[in-house]
Amino acid sequence: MGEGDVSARGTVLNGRGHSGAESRNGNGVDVNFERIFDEVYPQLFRYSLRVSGDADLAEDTAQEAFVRLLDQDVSGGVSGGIPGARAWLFTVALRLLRDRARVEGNRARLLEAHPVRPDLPDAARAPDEEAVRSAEIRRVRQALEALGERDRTLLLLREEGFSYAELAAEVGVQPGSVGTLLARARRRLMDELNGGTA
Amino acid sequence: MDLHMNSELDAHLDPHLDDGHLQACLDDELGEAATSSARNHLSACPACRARLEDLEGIGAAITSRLTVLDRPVSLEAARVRWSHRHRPAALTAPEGPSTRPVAPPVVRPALSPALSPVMHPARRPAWRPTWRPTLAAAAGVLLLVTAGVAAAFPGSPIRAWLEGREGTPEGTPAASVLAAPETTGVFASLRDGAMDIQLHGLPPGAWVEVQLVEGDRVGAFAPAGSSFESGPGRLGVRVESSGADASPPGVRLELPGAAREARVQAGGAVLLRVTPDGLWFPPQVTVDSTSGVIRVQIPPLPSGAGE
Repeated sequence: MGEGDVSARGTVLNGRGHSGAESRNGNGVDVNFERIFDEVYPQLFRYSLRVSGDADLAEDTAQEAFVRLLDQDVSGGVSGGIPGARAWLFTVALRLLRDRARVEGNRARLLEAHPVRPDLPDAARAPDEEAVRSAEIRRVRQALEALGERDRTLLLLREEGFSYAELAAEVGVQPGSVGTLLARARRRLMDELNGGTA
Repeated sequence: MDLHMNSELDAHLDPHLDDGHLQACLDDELGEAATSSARNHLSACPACRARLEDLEGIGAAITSRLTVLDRPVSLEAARVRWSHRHRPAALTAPEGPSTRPVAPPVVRPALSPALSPVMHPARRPAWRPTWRPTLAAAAGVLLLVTAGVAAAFPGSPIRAWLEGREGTPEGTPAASVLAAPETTGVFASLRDGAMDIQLHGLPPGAWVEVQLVEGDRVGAFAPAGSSFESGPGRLGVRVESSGADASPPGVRLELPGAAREARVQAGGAVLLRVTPDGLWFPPQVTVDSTSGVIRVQIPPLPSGAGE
């Protein structure tokens, strides 16, 4: 299977690893696709999993976001190098998850569901330990669900290391108000985790 | 610290810091001047300091408790899946250049006994014509391990291994050049990337089983009419011919990554073991690696070979 068999987007992929070949986006920022994939994919998967509670959906979402990044790269690019690509990928992932929830009308499922299946190593856990873990998963999911979508997004993206400027752009608020919103969201989440105060 | 000694100055301090400032201070998101000012205030204001510590504790607790939602992510598996999405030529032989990758029809049964017990055989797999003609004359079962991910990830040791073996004459047992010292099997260095395993020429009713010792996912493609069965850490396929085609059926397996433990069996015999160190084949097979695949020929299986 020669590398030449791959389509135009493949030229980006096939540049990976060999001699540091990189794709050049529309703003002249060199972006090595493999590097972005390796650095951002785990974060994107974790974020999508935390939002959706569904590992398969999280994986689909992360993969689809990268497909779209490549579309974007081929057609003109994403500005800001790796941080720009990362923010872009998370925005796409969030939109995909939101669309999915809307289409299926199952927002409740997204935040209540257990993981679709436990990890294989879980089989080795003692039943009691597994039950405790399941209860904790449920509790954390319910607490997250109790937050509004904006607060949840802010909080989970901050956990992935987003700056206040990136958070502000993501949810459409002033950067100066992010700290306040985050502090409030965290207190609220903590209250919910501790049994709720309402 | 001289904080309490200055308590008489408290009345003259700036107004207390609000949660937003405290949070931004913790997150290192205040500008230099604001940070300096906040530090000055905090050094003299126990109330704000207590709230800062409270927020810090909340943040740490949340970060910790959110991890219960996480699952380990396999970058290798993600790369494999990505490589499949971006190998349209290899998987579907499109006419002319494609600008959009075509994902293969992936059947990914869960390995956990309690979940996803229902699996559906894939339709006749699109990959089959790409390799079947070259294997039609095989007397036994052929098992091909393709380095799919290696094509998309050129740095992969799989690729290096394959390229290093390109000149191996057809039919030369790889054991002659690759025998590992402590084993009678065949050893191929294979440290990352995932594997695409194709078994061809199976007798109808053959039972093929994959056992994952470490790993959480395996994909299987088999002709319509085949049946699947899963258990803890294992996936079995009863391979049947497609009704429209009397040729011996084949099955394709996707393993998430080489740096995991797995075992592939057919007709009760182990055909391939994947370990973090490499691939192990049974001694009675011959292995070559021409044409970009590791090709293994094994003795014919009895018809309807059971588990």
